[in-house]
Amino acid sequence: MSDIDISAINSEYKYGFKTDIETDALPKGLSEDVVRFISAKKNEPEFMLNFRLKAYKKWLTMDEPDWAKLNYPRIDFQDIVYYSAPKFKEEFSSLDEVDPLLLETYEKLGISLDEQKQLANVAVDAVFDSVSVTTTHRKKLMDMGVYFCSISEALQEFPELIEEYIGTVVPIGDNFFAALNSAVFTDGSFVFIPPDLKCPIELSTYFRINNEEAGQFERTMIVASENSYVSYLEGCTAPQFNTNQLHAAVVELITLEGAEIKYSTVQNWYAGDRKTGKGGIFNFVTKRGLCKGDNSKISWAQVETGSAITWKYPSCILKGDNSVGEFYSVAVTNGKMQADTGTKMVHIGKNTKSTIISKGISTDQSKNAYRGLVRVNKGAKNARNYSQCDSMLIGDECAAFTYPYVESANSSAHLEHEASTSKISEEQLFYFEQRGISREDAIAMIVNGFCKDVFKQLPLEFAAEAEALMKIKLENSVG
Amino acid sequence: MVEMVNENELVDLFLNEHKALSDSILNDYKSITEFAWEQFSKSSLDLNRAESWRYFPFSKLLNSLKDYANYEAPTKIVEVGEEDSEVANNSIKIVSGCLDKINQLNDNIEVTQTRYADKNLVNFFDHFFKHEQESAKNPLVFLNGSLSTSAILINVKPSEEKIPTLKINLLSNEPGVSWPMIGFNILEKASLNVEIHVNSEDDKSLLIGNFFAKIKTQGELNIDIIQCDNHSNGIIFQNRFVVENAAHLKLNGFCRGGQFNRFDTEILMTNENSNVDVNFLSLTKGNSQQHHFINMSHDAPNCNSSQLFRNLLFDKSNVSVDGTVLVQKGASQTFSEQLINNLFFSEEAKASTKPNLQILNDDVKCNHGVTFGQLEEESLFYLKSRGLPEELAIDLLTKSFASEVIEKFHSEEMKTEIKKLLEL
Amino acid sequence: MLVIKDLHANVDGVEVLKGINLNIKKGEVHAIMGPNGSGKSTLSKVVSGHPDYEVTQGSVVYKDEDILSFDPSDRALKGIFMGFQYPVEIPGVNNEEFLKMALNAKRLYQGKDEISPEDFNKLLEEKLDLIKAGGKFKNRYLNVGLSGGEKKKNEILQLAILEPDLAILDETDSGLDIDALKVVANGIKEVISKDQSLILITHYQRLLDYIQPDYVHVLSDGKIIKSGDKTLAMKLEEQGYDWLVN
Repeated sequence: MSDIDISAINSEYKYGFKTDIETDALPKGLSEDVVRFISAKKNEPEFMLNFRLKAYKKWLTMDEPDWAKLNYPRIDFQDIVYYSAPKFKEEFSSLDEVDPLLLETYEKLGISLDEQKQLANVAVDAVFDSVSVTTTHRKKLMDMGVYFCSISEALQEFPELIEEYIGTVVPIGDNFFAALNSAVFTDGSFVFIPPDLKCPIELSTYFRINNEEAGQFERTMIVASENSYVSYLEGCTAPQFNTNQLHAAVVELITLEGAEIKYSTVQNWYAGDRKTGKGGIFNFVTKRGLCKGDNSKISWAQVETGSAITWKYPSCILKGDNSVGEFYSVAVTNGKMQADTGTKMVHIGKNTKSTIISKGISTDQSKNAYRGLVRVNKGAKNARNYSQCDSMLIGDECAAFTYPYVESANSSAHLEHEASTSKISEEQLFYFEQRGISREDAIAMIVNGFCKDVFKQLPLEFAAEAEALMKIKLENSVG
Repeated sequence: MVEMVNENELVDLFLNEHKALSDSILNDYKSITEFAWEQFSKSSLDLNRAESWRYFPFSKLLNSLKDYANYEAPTKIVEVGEEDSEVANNSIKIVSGCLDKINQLNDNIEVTQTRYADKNLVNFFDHFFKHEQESAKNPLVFLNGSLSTSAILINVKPSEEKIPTLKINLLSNEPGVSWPMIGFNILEKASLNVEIHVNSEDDKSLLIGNFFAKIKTQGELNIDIIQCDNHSNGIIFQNRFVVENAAHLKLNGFCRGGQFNRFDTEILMTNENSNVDVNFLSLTKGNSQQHHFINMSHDAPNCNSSQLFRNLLFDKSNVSVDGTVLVQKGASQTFSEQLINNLFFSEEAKASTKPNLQILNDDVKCNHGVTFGQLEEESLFYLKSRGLPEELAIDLLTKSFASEVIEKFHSEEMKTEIKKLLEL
Repeated sequence: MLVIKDLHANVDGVEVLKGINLNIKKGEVHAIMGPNGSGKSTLSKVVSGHPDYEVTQGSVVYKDEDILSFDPSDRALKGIFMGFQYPVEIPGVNNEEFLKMALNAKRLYQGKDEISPEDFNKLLEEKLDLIKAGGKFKNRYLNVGLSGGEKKKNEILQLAILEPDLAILDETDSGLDIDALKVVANGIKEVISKDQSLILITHYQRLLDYIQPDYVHVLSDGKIIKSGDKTLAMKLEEQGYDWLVN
């Protein structure tokens, strides 16, 4: 998604097309048999099937969370297809074997899987309806000792790594959607960075939902060994349907001593019709990183521009001494979108530091909430946190909510939180207009300025894409 | 003392207890209590609010309630007293929930007691119960309404001359729960300063109070509260304020001591151009707990609200501030700020803050800030480099931290009193 | 008065002072100059006892006593005054009260009685006159709402009241325009007597136009690389620090 031609983005949602591709799908519904089927289909090792079954049983005992007060029709979990895969051979020896329609889909999305046209500095894992289509630059990465592949492949090739880490950051019963994901996840990306390697190219996964009735349940896991570094990008789109699709992903990050993971997301799932609110993705995602080793660091940067419902709190467990967690977020909502996003920073180790910068922009009739928790545990001596959550409202029918919770059980902590809610003043707009800048451009400029602290955390191409997306979201928001 | 009890279980227990109570209390106070009791019986401690009931001393409350089984309502009607050298003029004394003395009231202040079954009084309180029923639904408000033995309504009329400060003394001197209920009705253009002292002389009391106030157009109510308790008692206040057109409310509090303090404050700014200023300072030691729940609701345009909480935490104390600022759709040109500062003096103290900012209007300016920390090393060094010994430097910085709240108090006497109570 | 020998000090584990030697006698005025980050401010903080600075080697002897183990307030009571580059703001603490408190702490230490309110008022008025400061400095919170120049002036007022034996003024001239500088510099001249020793830490020569130093030292990378008389300061003004550093 890094090579998107920005000038081409001019429609409301340019990724709303659907690919007519033959799929291999289970009928709707969820049962223990479905869980077993998925596991068998993927030829998974015994531990994985047990993990899934345990999660399924746990899920049956759990209730859908309602504390976020998001307003959406109850999801019928029996009305969802839990396995849908584009029909293709188990493994491709070359891209020639991939359905050209699929390749074309990714071309349209601005991602070339063709070796000739691939970006030199970004490796892409393309996931289509929960199944990894292909991963570029694999050989180059393997030579450096970096494993970057789909999690299904990883389960065949490095099952011991998966067994060691899966569920250690997001436990099976962590929450309703994480339990569901643990039972039925179909694919996702797996990354392993060997010790002392600063991964020279950026790794990226591109998620595409295509099947109208399929839920997307992918699972991503990144393990950064001692003193390694990786920058990971995630992008996502979906066709425009009048029905809602469920996306319930789990992302687990683990950094060992001295390691650093930078995880950037531009989320642009279809958000439903701007006027009627019909359709769109329900995005219930559990993302969490564990700074397991001392002096390690996990940094989340996200630009949330899509989904009808966003329920997502990328978090950091700062277990290692001197570990650092960061969360940079821009969430833009328009139409009837509802976003409830934020982070949790749990300080466990000594001298741990965290930073939270969140910018929420709401327009039209949308609702945008920041929900965060900074918790300092008893043993976390000298913990530091700085949080800043700003909201901007454009138009008089939208709403902004801020729930920045702070708890401390260690008196040596220094925690500082600031939040503000404001609007673009007429004065500011007039100033721009007087200098000959249109109202629309002026708003875009002011909003971009408002989000600058977050954008500058994104990789360059991502930042440009984010700015362009913002502009589309804000179009016609002020009369 | 702090025990978690299942909320539904608690309600059942209350209902059983109440059978024994109903004869003795309800008959006398029927006019006020009927609606409140009906509401309480219907409400369970709302599970959606369960979060906000954490730390609540249910078991103590239940034990104390048993004392009510043989309760006899007081028969005394308190007359407005003559000058009394022991009690200040223009003052009201309430002992263990019962009105004890009314001393030399200013002509513009009029007090109505439950016993007179005054229609205005009943309407005033019912209005609040009805609102509570629609919004916050804190069942303790209703429970208080049905058990309170000394509901009084203070009507304040406008006056050319400044009305002298009204002093209210709330004293607990026997074990058990007391349920004071005080209403302030500030009429149009009237203005009142109130000083409230909350003290106790016993170790097993729990004071559950309802403070209701209505401030009419251009009215002004300034309340200074000092709660100081050298015993391990509990205090739970439900404060409900309605601030009307261009009216002003100032609520300043200092809390020190006691085992368990809970202030549940809801402020509705129902009309334009009103101003609300809330300032609380707390000093907690030992195992004591201090919990603030505040709900600031901007329902009309052009209103300002400001909240400042400063907490000094010692020993194993635990302080929480849950603060909601709600800006309704029509409330344009709102200015609202909320600042919470926690200053730790002990490694074992705990604090949590849960701000909820809910903004439904785009023409607002809302700020919120929280800090957790210790005395600033740079400031300490600065003072020490001028030759001040460490204890004095710490004392100065502590007072400095507290000063912004202390200065907001209207009463000079209270300012001095707080400074004294702050001596570490 | 003050003898510093081979002083090494760390902040956050990084060595900032790397062997300072300095000998200051009674009544002398020393200027310590140097580029940013050379360790000038660190030196003043180490001498006055800031807890963030860890002395790893060497000694600081003041009036024949190694003071390194002393608390900052003990050092102050023994007569060391530091003028801060960035005086902290302490709301709620009245400036006048604070001055009185500090003075009384000192008097108590010297075995004297507390100063009477009348005498203190007289003293304060006198000192305010001396540095040409108005009553503004009395009824205010400590440094709250004062401009940069006024804060520095307030430091000089404290210096005047406390009458230390050794005053270390850390970049007292920084952030001041030429008029404010003149006022502050003349203030210093007025309050410092012949018996008091003075260390002026400064980046620029301009303060030294007003207060003539007996010695000028150039600090670079934690060491004194050159010492001389006031002509050294002028040379630095003309040619910068590069000729010395490289």
